Amino acid sequence: MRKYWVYYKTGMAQVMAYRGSLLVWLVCNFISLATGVAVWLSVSNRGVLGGYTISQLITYYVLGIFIGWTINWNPFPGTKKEIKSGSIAATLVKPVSFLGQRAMWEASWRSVSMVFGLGGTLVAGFVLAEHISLPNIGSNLFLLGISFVLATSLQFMLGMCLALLAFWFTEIEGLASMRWIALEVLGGMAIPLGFIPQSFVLMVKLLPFRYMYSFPMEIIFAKVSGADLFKGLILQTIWLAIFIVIYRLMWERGLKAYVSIGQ
Amino acid sequence: MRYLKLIFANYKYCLLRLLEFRAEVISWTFISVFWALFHLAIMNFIYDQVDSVAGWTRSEALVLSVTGSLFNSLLWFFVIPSLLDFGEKIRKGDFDFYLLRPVNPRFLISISRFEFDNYLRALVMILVIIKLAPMAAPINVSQIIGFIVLYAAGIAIYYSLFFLITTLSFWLVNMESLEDIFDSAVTLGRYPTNVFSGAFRIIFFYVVPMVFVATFPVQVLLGKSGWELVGLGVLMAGIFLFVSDKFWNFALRHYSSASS
Repeated sequence: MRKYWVYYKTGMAQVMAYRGSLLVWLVCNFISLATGVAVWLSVSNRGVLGGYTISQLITYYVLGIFIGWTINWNPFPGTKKEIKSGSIAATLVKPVSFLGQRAMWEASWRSVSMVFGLGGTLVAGFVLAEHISLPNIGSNLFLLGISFVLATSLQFMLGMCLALLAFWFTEIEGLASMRWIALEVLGGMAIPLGFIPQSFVLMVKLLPFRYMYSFPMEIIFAKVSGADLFKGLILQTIWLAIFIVIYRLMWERGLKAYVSIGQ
Repeated sequence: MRYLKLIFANYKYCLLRLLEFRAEVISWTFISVFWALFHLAIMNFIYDQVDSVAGWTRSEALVLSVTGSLFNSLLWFFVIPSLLDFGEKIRKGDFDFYLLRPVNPRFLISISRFEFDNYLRALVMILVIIKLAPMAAPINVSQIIGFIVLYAAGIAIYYSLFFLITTLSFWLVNMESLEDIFDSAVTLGRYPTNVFSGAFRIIFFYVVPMVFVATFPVQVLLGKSGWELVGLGVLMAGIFLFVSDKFWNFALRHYSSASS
């Protein structure tokens, strides 16, 4: 365990070098939030939209700053770079799990970004206090915690599976971009899934993207409860198991295909 | 004429270099179209629930969103790639070679890189505007000309603004998040900017003039505003170009090489 802790500490040191970038990204988040809030406050119908009141919609985006910065684990760029540059060879000869090593790097990044995200959410919440509708999550707190962990793990494993394609293909950035489109539309990052037309609802519920972001949000805003909540948690777990299996298969085949030169 | 030849020469060089990675160009071409369609889809989802946003109807807002996507595509054609390259050149010390050439260095930097994966998106967006705009309001030739002139003014404004920000690379060597700043500034112009009021209105009208991304051009195209906006756009473009040029010259006087 100590060896993974070293990766975490090294990652933290590296992340602190990017604190300027983190601040810029937070400012970009604020700009997006300001526009979103302005749009929702300008709509003609001020009742319930997509299952949310205007206050809930604004709260959704404010909380989204913290939640996004916490659960949107993205090991894709670092993992892909390690495979493409050949530095993965050094990891393969060490007595560490590649998955564990990448998880620690990502955890170090998220430890810092989570703090920035929390700060951003608190500032936004203070500024927009009159438009915020704080949800009551007391009774579902434990299940929300489980859902958060599962959502984080799902995002991490999807990123790892996509990154392992670097064993076979020279250019896979496009797939990473498609992942974000899927998360934005089908995952509820751009707009709550209550706005998706009825004809797409079944597809959204079966695909994994809802469980990577929207599902924890739906628990927070009490849009799922009882049996549906447990069904959602089971589906999160099933999708996580699927991604783990896919990862293991890709990893075994990828190592057979991998050739390291001059490392 | 000499400068035109340089533009075409660099355009051809960038195209040939890109065609070495055909699969990458094709995949990014289709992905950029997907991003544009994603923004359209989001706008449609909102309008499935509301009648209007800040007085803009569905068809007007869709024209707005598509116009914003087109603006993004045009900026990503050469403005943003060239400016991102510029920051990189200063960090690596390659900028000195631009100063040694018998051509205006600002011109060279501004046309240093062309990206072609937004070609198809731009084409698709133009076709969608042609289809959607008449559904939103009657269009005449004067409105089309006003739209094009205001659009060009908007590109000049954003080019000048981004150039001004990138010039800060002379002092703040590490500006890795430039791409995110540029993207934010343009992406948000897809929404009607008259949703803002107070200090935000002043900022998004005069400091980071998002109004010129889509709101003002579409207002002129749909006949909601007249040629006074076009005049304002041309005036703002002139001011931004002048200020960015002054700042550029100031930065050059204080530039010390990284020893190339």
